[in-house]
Amino acid sequence: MVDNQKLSEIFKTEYSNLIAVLSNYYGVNDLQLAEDIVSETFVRAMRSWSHKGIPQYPRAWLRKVAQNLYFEGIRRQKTFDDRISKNLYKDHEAFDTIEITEKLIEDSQLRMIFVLCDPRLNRESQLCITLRILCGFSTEEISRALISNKESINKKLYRAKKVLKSQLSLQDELTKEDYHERLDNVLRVIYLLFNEGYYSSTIEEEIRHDLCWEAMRLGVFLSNQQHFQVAHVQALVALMCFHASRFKARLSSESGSLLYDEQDKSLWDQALIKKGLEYLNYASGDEQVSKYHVEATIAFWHTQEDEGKWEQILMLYNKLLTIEYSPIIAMNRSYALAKAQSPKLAIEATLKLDLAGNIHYCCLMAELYKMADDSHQEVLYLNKALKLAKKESQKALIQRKLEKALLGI
Amino acid sequence: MKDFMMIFHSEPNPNMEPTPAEIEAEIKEWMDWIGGIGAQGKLKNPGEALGFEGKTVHSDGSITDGPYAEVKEIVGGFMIVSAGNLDEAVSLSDGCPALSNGGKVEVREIMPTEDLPNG
Repeated sequence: MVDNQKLSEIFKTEYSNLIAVLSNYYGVNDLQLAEDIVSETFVRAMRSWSHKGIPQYPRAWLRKVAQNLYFEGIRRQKTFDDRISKNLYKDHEAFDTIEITEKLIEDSQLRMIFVLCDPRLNRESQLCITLRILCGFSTEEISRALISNKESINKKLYRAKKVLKSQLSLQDELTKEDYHERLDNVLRVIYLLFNEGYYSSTIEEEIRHDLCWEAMRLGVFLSNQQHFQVAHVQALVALMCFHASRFKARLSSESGSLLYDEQDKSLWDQALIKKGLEYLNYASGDEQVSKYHVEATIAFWHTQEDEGKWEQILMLYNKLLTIEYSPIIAMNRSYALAKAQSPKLAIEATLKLDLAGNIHYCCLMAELYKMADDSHQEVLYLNKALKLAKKESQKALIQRKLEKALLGI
Repeated sequence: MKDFMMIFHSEPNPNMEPTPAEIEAEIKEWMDWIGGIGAQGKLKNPGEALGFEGKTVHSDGSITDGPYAEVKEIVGGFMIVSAGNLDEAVSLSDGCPALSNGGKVEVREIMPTEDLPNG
């Protein structure tokens, strides 16, 4: 019997390895061809392994078959060239010897990350194509992860490949400047992948895990590359470690709560917190402070029991808001303000946010009024939130809070 | 939305020598206020605080020490906010630490240069 889970794991990781390497040879101008070869490789593996079981070195097996398919393609092309168009494609000779080694895979993957984060693609397309090519997600999985439908994801993938095709030919290398310019894009894509997994409450648990781990894998991979041991790469890895350390605690709390106070701290993964701290230390060597530094430091303080931490967290949110605005950051700042100074001040500040139709805003206001012992306003805001809630689990959660608040009156 | 510059004026006190704790407390006051504007999504550029040292170059070529040789007030810093109109921009100055220290906040619309020819 073939172990399906093991199989899908092998396929997923090997998919991106093989595509990255093959694309080195075909050039990105034919991602589709590389994908076809890899699919054919997997089909052959399934056929062979379902009789004989998974071989001892499945990855080597896959690499060998992909290599052979690649050569077959080249030979066919060569015959075509020799007989029909003699003078074309002379340079194929140069690629006649490929051997898929770990080193080659690493180099190819690194290059691929930067190729995919092409500034001409919009955010969503960069995410889609990264999930496909680097994380080996199927169209179905991508549409589940990004809460979209298969048709629209397919269209995005198709267009993205077309854009990429027009850019790089076989021998074109990304320049140093390309790497430099695209690094921010690359980090953003990794960060978005992670956030899709971490914050979305509509994606199934399994996919969410996959997204987070894939993002961490890419981040760690990047931070291990000689030229990318730079502060904000490490800060991003630190941030992901801190967040991921609470993954289990979050999933097991009744509401999937993001509020650290409501989580079972014994479920926090101490090893990951330690890892995060290591990366944060590496990252502090540089004078430049990125938003990843600030967010990682906030996440670090949340792992601490120290009551004085809220002033620190508030300061960091203030800092973060000078770099970037988002409603989530604004609301988190309000909460920190309530903890660090007073709920009253926080309520004043929060009333100024233009977010009245946002369910999280209503929940936050209810929470702040609860902290200020104003159960009348708390109930008011919980009722507003209830009207805005779409999912049953959300409604149930707000309902429970309402009951508690009403008992308090 | 338009952009407005807030310019912070204060009367310098050359004899003041704040302790590190006082400096930290003042920075915190400013950061809390700036964070409040950032939270409303209206912070365009956090700007800079200006030091006390400086020189002024005059049109006759002379250079004098410090900005405060002739004026009583100095500009202590600036930042850029976005707001629908001048009134709204002015209301963002609410709670600005410059005001509680006897200073002033000047709010000026930033001229959109891209509309100008060769701008």
